[in-house]
Amino acid sequence: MDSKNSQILSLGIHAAVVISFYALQYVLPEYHLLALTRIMLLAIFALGFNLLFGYTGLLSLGHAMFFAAGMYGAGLTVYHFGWSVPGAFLFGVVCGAILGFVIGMIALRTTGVAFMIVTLMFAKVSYLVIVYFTTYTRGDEGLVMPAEFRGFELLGMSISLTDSVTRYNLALLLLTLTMLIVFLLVRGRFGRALVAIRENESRTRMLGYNTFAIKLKVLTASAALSAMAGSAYALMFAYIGSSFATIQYSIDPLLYTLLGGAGTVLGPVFGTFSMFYLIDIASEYTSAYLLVTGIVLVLLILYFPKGVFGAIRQKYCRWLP
Amino acid sequence: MTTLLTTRQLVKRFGGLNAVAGVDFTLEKGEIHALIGPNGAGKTTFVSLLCGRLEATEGSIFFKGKEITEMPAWKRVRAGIAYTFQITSIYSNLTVFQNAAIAAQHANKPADDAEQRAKTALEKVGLAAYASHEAGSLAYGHQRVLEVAMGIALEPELLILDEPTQGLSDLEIEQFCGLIREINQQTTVLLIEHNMQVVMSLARQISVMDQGLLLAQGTPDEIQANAAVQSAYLGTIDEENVA
Repeated sequence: MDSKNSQILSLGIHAAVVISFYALQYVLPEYHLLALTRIMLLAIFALGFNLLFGYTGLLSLGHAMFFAAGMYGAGLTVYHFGWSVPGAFLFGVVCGAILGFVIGMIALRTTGVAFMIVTLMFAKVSYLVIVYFTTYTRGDEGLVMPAEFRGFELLGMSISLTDSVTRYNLALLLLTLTMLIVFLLVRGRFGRALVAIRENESRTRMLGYNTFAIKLKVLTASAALSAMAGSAYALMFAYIGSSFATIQYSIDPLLYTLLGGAGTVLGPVFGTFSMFYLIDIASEYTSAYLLVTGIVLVLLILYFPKGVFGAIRQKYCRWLP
Repeated sequence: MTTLLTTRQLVKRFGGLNAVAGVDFTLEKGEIHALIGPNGAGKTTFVSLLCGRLEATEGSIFFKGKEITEMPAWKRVRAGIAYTFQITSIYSNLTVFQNAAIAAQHANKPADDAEQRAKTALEKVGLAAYASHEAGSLAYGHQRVLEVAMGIALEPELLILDEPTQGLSDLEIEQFCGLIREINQQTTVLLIEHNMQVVMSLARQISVMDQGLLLAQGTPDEIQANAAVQSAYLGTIDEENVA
């Protein structure tokens, strides 16, 4: 297939996913509407993570700190300073981007296992910082956003975040935006440079690429997207707590990405969706639901080491971004 | 002729070992210059200093009259120094075309024609027919040539080739020499080579290294007649007579 057709087709597939998410709101009951809202926000987190892991080959074990940066950046300004929702949301994203940049300056001096450990360590520090400043954050117990800050005016419309359909559509809007950003970043020249770094960094440097600067850009973008997810999560569900900064929230996006397929745009979305419902359904039947997810992951690694969309791409459509 | 690159008292020390022990070297624009010497003479270390893969311990390097001693490797590539690896270092999971395209989408050149330049580079080395193949699936000889194509795609002023004919068949070597002559029409070539036939047929200037030092520099004829070179390669005749 020539590259023009394949681009149109892949855009079409991604648009179809967005449209079906949109259509689902008319048929789904309240519970699943809420679940899908969460899924879409977590999928943004996974997409941000995947930008770094799937395309650039950098495995961070500390992405919860970026999610938490967004969450606390937005939540604390609303709670303590009474910022309006849009301002707080943007502030959360900026907090994540800045944290990503600063952590990148330090952590990107390492590679491989050392990078994993350094990011893990910084995430732990972030968690401890949240707990340490418990006067302002209420640590583990967390903070609930006051009700009067759950609505806002934007472009003449008054939007209420207590309405589940509104939340759903806002989450979908952010997810679409994220997919578009990732889609644009990974195709073309910049994406090629990322893949080159993933495949062989020292060679890439000897082809005239400033690999450190490229990795720093990607880490900053990845952190900003993760923070956007955290920021939206805090504002839509009106709660912030230190549990979102724990190791579990660093591992989750990794699992979502592995399940769906690292280095694909749809993979993390599909992975988040599947894993969320897998846990949801399994926990109805057994308290050992984590065992079920464990078995699924083992099977996945055995039969689909590149994840579901990774396998599809390898077998049927190599042009999938 | 104008001078493209010079080094002054260039030193690289690994612990107690002087891998490069004070080299004054001059490379003229437009030539094919071969760097020869016994194993462990410091040839690869020396060119690694030129392209920035290694940092010099002492001394300085000038490229087109500007000092580049402290310049990071990626900047030197953009300044016009391309290096092809001794051990084939291609992106084996990507297609042949992607390999060339990564090299060609050089930030200094207009981005739009990067794909065209990648194609041209592949045509030059005769790999155009393999463009959509996975690079890792190519025969070894073709992988070596792809490595060179990536060098060409950078459109450098100086192309450094580190033992490019290693592991190639006689026929491939012959084709390779033709390719180097063609590249040389636009590009200065510095090559490390063990195959003396290749060196004698290609090089207009030869530098001989031994134990981190530049032993001799001259035309192929001068080098063949040089007593110091002969003793470095063959040992001293007197000693053998005594034995």
